[in-house]
Amino acid sequence: MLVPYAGVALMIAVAIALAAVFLLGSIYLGPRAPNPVKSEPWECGTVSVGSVRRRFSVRFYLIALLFVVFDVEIVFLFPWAVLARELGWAGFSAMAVFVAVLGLGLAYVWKRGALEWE
Amino acid sequence: MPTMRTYADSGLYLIPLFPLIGALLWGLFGKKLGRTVVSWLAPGMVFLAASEATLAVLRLYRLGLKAEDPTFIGGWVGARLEQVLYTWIGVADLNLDLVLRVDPLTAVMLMVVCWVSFLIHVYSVGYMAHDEGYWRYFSQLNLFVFAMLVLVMGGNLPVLFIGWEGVGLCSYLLIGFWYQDQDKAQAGLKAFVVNRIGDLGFLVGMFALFGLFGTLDFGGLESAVQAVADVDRTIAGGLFAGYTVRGVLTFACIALFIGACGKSAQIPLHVWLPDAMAGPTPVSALIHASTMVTAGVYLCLRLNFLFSLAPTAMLVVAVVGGVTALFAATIALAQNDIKKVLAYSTVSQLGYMFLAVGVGAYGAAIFHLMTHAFFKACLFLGAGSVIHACSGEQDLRQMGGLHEKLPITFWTMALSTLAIMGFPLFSGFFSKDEILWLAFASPRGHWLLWLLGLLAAGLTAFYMWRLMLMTFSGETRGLDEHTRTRLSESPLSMAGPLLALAALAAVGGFVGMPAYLPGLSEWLGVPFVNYFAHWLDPQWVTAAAHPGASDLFAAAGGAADLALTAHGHAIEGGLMGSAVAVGLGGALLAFALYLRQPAALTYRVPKLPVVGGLYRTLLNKYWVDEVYGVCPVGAVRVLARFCARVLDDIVVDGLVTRVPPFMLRVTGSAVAWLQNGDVQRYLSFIACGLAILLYALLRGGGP
Amino acid sequence: MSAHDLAALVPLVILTVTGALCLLLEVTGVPVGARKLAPRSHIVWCSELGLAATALVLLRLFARADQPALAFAGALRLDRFGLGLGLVVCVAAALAIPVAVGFLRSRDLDRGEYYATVVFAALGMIALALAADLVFLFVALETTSVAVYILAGIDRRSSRSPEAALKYFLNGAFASGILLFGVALCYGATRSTAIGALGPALRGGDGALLASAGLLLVLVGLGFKVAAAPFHMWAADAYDGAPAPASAFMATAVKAAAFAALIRVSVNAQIDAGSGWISAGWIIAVATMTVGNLAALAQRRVKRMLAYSSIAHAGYALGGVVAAIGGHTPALGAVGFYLLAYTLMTTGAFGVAAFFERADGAGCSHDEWAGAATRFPLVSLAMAIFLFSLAGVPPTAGFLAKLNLFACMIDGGFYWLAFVGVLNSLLSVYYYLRVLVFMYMRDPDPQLAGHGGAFVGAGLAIAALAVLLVGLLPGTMLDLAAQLRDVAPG
Repeated sequence: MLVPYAGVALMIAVAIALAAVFLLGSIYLGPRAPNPVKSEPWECGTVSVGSVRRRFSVRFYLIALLFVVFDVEIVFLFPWAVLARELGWAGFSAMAVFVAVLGLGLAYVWKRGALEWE
Repeated sequence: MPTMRTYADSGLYLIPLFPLIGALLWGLFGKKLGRTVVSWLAPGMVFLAASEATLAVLRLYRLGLKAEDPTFIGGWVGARLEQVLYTWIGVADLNLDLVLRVDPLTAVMLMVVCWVSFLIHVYSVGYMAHDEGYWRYFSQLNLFVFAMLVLVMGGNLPVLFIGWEGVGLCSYLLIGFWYQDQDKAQAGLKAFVVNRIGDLGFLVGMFALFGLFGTLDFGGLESAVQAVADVDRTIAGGLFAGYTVRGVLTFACIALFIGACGKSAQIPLHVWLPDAMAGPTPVSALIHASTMVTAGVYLCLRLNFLFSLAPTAMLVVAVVGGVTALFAATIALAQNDIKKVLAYSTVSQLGYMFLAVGVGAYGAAIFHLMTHAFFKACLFLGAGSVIHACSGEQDLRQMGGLHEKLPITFWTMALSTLAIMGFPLFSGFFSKDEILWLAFASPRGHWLLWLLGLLAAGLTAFYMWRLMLMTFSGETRGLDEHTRTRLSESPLSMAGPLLALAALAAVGGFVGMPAYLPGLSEWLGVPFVNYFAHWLDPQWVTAAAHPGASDLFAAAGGAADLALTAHGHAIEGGLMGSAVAVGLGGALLAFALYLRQPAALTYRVPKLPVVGGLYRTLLNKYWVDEVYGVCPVGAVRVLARFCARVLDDIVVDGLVTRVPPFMLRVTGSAVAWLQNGDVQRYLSFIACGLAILLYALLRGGGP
Repeated sequence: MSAHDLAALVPLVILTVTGALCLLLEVTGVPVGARKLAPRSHIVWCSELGLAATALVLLRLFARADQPALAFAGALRLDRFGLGLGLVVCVAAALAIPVAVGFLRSRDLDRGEYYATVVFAALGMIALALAADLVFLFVALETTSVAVYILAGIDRRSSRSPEAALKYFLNGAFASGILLFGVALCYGATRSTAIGALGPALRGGDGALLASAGLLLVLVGLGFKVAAAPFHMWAADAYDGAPAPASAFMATAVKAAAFAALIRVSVNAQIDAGSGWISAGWIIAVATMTVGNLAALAQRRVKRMLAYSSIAHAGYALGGVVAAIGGHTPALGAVGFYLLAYTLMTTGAFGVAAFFERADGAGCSHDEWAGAATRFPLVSLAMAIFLFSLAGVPPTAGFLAKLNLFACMIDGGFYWLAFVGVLNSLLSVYYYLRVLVFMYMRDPDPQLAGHGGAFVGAGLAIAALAVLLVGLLPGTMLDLAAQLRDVAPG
């Protein structure tokens, strides 16, 4: 009964094998000459300061979160825009409600001061 | 005669609503509202209820007339007004509605309860004016009226029982109104406990009826009774298999009568009523004379169609009633506390009512209930007025010579005394005479029952005039100087209700004039109609129509016609004459003994040889309280001590104090181990639980 | 969009708009008309009005739902069962909001976000009660859960509230995972996400085992939400650690909605009366009530005691569910009535805890409540009513609900379940009345303080009166509850 899935399994196997070949190939075939400067984190040429694992301000998360929300909005908006004519008024009103809810959220976030850095 | 039709009526709930609102208002906000507001609105709430009740009775009257003959004499067939407020429980075989109903019987009770309550509320405004607990008093008094209205309007036994318990609660609260006084608080407790014994009977009776008929609705019971063609048929199955319907009915009726005995202070449960006089006097007048204590009589009348089918139960009722009437009257002869005399008088008069119920004279019973409410309320209020004037003195031996200082009180009480002794044409004459006549002449009556009533009537006249003479005639004997100089008639708020009640006591009996009154009807040349009996006749139709009670009611229209056909006017007139003569004799004897030196006898009699012993027996109320103190109460005390010392201290306390700490330790440590706040542990428990369930599923094809 | 779709949409839309309004009112400042009120009173009123409107709409739909109907292509089912439990959710939310006000003000948490979150949670719960599709059920459950996680952690300056929220979240995420896995298996077995498709799939065919595994996982996920043993352990920490007003809401509304979903799934699965499912069910019910009661016995904090008591009550209700699955349909009404009574008394009891609670969960132990009756007679009286009701003493709603439930278990043939239930509720009298002993018979603790106010007073008074009223005049409620039996088609 698993026959229809054989292609999928083959695909997975090939993908893993290919990735393994590339990774292992580069490890074994590539020449390596490590030195301390090379192992430093790359910081646009400036000398790095302190550990990478420091605390971030919560504002980054907030902005990131908001970004994701509106990112997802775009994901929904694009397919609708493509088919906007066929979907007609029903599609438009559904989308309008969706955007309105998001807009409400944006208004709240804005007034609450979450968009201001200081 | 057709049975009464039922009409829906949407206004009945208003009648009990007003006093309930009042009770809540005074109870919660009385102090903020102030005395003036309470003084006007507490009687006002009862007035509104009384007005609503009157309107309801007028509606009932209109609906109860035949369409083709809308006159009272020819066309009165009666009716019922009904309002279902709420379906309490509506499960398959048990259907309980919160239903109010007004029929002719309830109408009479409504009028008596509402208007007498109103008068006594007005009186209380004056009587309680200076009391600390003014709002508490009116809150409880209004609550009482509410409960009493629920009692008389309840359309089924459970609703009636709510009112029954409600009035019991208010009675308890008001007897112990001055609860700082240990004795008064105790009196309240006694009333409550004795009533509990009665209530047990009530509940047993109620369950028996439910077991028999599967309904507790009065209408339902009535039709269930009608559906039983042969009451002597043996019941085939169910709870009462093997008994006859009549047997079960007899059992239920006697059980209910025990309940009635508790509430209406009949032997042997009469002991609480005299003690209940510890409450404020208007309370005694309202609750312990005119309304609540008649609830037992009302219960029997409400279920008359059941009692009629149980002759044995009726005999018990009649005998207990008759004996109580005489027994309490004898005790009243020797009491020196003005309220105690009236209390025993009340017990005695309630005995008359039960005597009437027991011989099937239902109309006479409720008639006497009504006239008694008038004259006894008036007497109590008069006594209250006397006590008020004497600064709280209740001992008759200390009074005397008050008729000049308290003229209104004197004259109103005198009228009521004439009424209670059955002086011709006063209200008590008509009602008591009807009872005595039917006790003799009814198919279920007996001349011995009549004799009990007759003797009690003589004694009643004697002790009432003794009370009057000791209070009002001669010289003032006790009372300190300060009180004597300040003796004066009570304020208008107290005198008004007295006058109104005295007027009712004097002429209230004319609504129930017997069709035959020797000489008078011939002299006037008009036939008399007993309007009161006519009003109530539709109420007794079910009983009359049932073959099981044929001996009692061969003809529709009740016992009166039947008795008349059996005995005739001559005997009726003769009995009436003898009752009047005995009453007058008692009164004359009282005048002869007490007019000159009202108090001297009370000191001299105990020293006489035989009479003195008798007197002490009466003074100590036949030592009933003492006997009860030894037998039931003492035995219960011993049992209680056993429970306290052995069961409670050793068994229960041992269990409670030893076991829980142990259990707490065990469960506590178990919980502490399980619930250590570690999220991983919680998750592992979820995982384990899931794993077990999955394992069970995979092994068995289902968990 | 059909008429049923619209009908189903109305309550959800009302709640969405209400929640959004609460948020906007918070940020736009006080409107002119509400300046004289205490701050944020207008938001409280806004949320209450929204809930009342929702309740009215639900009631209207309830009255017209003679024939259950599917909406949104089978995502929602408009039947009296779902609508009735949706009403219970509305009651829980409407009571939990006012009793919270005093506490929130004292902790400077009185913000529109709190009320909006309660409303959004209620939205999720009503959707959950109506959900007839596993995916929609999952979405509704997550809407509920996320909102409730926030509520548990709302007091973020406290030492306990964030901990409670985090524990609740971690456990909840785990349970959501299990549920989702179950949904996937069910889909695999039935090729449909409709709850109604489960029954036929379980009866036989290739996917029977897969379907039963899926059903089991879904039920375990929901069992977690109702705090059934052994998935209950988070509940004590979460209810105790969360601010009391949040616990009041979590312990009642979440439970009512999760029970709705649990019942809908399990009844629609049409399990055989004699199967192992039933045995497993009643074992879990007995375990839940017993564990909850035994743990509650040992508690020294009223709030934690109430947390365990809510576990025990979930056990009683589960017993009713088992009777219902076992084929005795009147038990559905009994469970519904029980959840209503439970909601009234538990919201009230946690509300009283909220009245006394101070920073970091102080003011919630037995010792601190000593002699409360002399200082706060009315609040203590209300607590007495709630506790008597929780203990099942007449004439309260709790008594009638228990009586009804146990009677249904007996009618359904689950004698032992009823017996253990009665034993357990006898046991519970001890720890409920112990609180009263402290409140009424100990010398007052002068440090005890409460944060009252009109909202708190009104909330507690309404809850207490409702407990008494439902206990004294149960007729209407019993009639309504008796109609909650249309959860499964046919």
